Amino acid sequence: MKQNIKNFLEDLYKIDPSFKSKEDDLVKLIEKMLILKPDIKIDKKFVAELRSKVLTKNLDFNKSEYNIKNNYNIMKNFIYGFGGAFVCIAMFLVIYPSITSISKISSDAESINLNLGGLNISKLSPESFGPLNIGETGKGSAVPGVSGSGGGGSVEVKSLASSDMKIMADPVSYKYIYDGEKFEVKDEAMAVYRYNGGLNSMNKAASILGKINFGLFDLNKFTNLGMQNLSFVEDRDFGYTVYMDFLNGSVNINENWGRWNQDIYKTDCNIDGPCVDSTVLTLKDLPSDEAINKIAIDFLNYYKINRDNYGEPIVMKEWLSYYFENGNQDTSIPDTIQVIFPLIIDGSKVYEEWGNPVGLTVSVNIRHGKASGLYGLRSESYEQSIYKTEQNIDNILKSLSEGGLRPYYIDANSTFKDVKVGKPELALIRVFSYKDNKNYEMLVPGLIFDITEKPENYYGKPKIVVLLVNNIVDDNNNIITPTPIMMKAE
Amino acid sequence: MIINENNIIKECQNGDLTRFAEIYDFYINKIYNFIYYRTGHKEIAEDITSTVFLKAIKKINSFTVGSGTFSSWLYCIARNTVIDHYRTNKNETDVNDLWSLGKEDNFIANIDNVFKIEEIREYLKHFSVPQREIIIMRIWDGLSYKEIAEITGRSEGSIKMNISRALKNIRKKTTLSAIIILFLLN
Repeated sequence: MKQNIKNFLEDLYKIDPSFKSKEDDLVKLIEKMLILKPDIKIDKKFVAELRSKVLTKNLDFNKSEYNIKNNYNIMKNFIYGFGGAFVCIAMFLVIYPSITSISKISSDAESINLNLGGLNISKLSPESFGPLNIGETGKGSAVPGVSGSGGGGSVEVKSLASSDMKIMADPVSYKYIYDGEKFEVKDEAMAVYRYNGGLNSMNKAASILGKINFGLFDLNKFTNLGMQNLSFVEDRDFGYTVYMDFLNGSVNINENWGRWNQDIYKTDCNIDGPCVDSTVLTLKDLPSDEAINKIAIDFLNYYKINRDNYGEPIVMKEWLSYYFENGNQDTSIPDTIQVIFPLIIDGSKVYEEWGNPVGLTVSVNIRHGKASGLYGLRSESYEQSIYKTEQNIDNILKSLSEGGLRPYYIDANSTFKDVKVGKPELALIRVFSYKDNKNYEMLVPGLIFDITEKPENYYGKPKIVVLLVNNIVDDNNNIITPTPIMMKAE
Repeated sequence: MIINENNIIKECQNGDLTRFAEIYDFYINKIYNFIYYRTGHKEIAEDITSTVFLKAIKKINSFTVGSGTFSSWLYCIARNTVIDHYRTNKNETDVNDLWSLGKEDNFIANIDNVFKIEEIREYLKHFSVPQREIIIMRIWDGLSYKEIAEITGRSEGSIKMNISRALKNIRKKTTLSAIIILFLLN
């Protein structure tokens, strides 16, 4: 008899000794009551999201408006999706001088667990990465007389706009303005992440090679092997090619071009004409976001690609604005639409410098109604270090007004136009830091402001990103400058 | 209780709120389950759980180490938040009867839990409102007599008295199996 039941019985007998005569029934009943306890499975994503929210509640908006609840899926360790198929590859494979096609992966093969996947975050001491050397914010201020080429010499900026040699319209610069609800950055320090994934799988993957008899040379003469990449192809209609990069721990999938129906592109038509017109897709052929997302989700589910570390899918349709703005609704649309599942680290979405989400990208071929590719699947491994943040809202708004991260060069003679932005989203911004002759991928806390009101013919950035980490080395070379068109005549 | 829980709390109260992570990790499942048993609804339980922990970290300085267990303090917040939820969202006559309030929700994700909860409801109908709460806290929430007393504002002695009364009640109205529930409280 289990000890806990004994304890219950002892307590029971202390209250009423007559229960002793019904011990067998009591034992069964106690077991039943214990079994009837509901089995509650708390949502792990909710747990991680709430943890992040509770511990890193940085922006103090009105709670009723600023609510990130259930917006994101939070990652934990995830199992690399292709392991299930890939690890079953045949160990005893003889390769002849011609390529032998593998029509079926043997289920009897000895498995090798490459364990490429998983979200791993190693915590380091504060400011372990040193100065971040990203090159940055608010450096788009007007600086008359500064060369835009960065290559020495000087060209007076004013000369480009002087009326006697003007070949283009007066330059326009934008001032980004936030006049919404007040906000504050509560945390004086936030986590910065540095990517260090995918380096540990080469040797494991190379262990497969030891089982292969090439018949061409003695592979065993090579020592300390590491497999850098591997690619394979599905030889079937609408099959895929898969490229696995063990050095970076990433996987890309693309169409096996030869096996995707290309008949539609075979035409003897001229560039213009009815038979060409019949092959193009127009806006009326564009499926709903729901339908597109379903294709992407079904694809990921079929290949068992875990989405725990990624948010809900976003159909990328910025290109649509060009159609509506230009009124060309009958113009052809792309065959392939991108769906991005944004990466989420510690409860924050990851964006790139222009404010677009970073994560799993599934290409959906809307002509065939199938996913045609996958990009961005990799082992997510980071080092984390705490850095001081910018809490002065005036500084943040000043940086915003000048264009935030990677500002456009501002001509001193520009006509300034106001662009209004909305309430910022706190996120992680993927930037690259060049140090010691190496390029490091970093995730830095930042605010993303969407454009809410823009002047006519606005050609600036759709979103403004302002980094919140202070320890950034200024680098004017990172300002986006125009290429000088004309030099002033001497 | 977490090892060195009081030290962790003191550090939180001194400004090192990162230590709250240990508290969160230890209590999240317990608090969520506590709320789920009383709401039977996943999304509502998540909402209320979120509110509880946000309240807890915000009000951490209001807890006095040594005046009671932190566990009881946290469960008290959870209990009151559940009550507040029903007060603002339902026209119930007795919001203190937390065990019966969740029954009106139409959606319970796990069908097995539905049957289990419904079966237990039948047993608990024979108990008074305070007794139901005590029983669930003891058997399913796994709280000690001391914690139950602190949460519900009762002494340890009165808890045992309630259990004894419930026992007698069960003996009159139900089968032997229901009696066992009460004895598990001991």
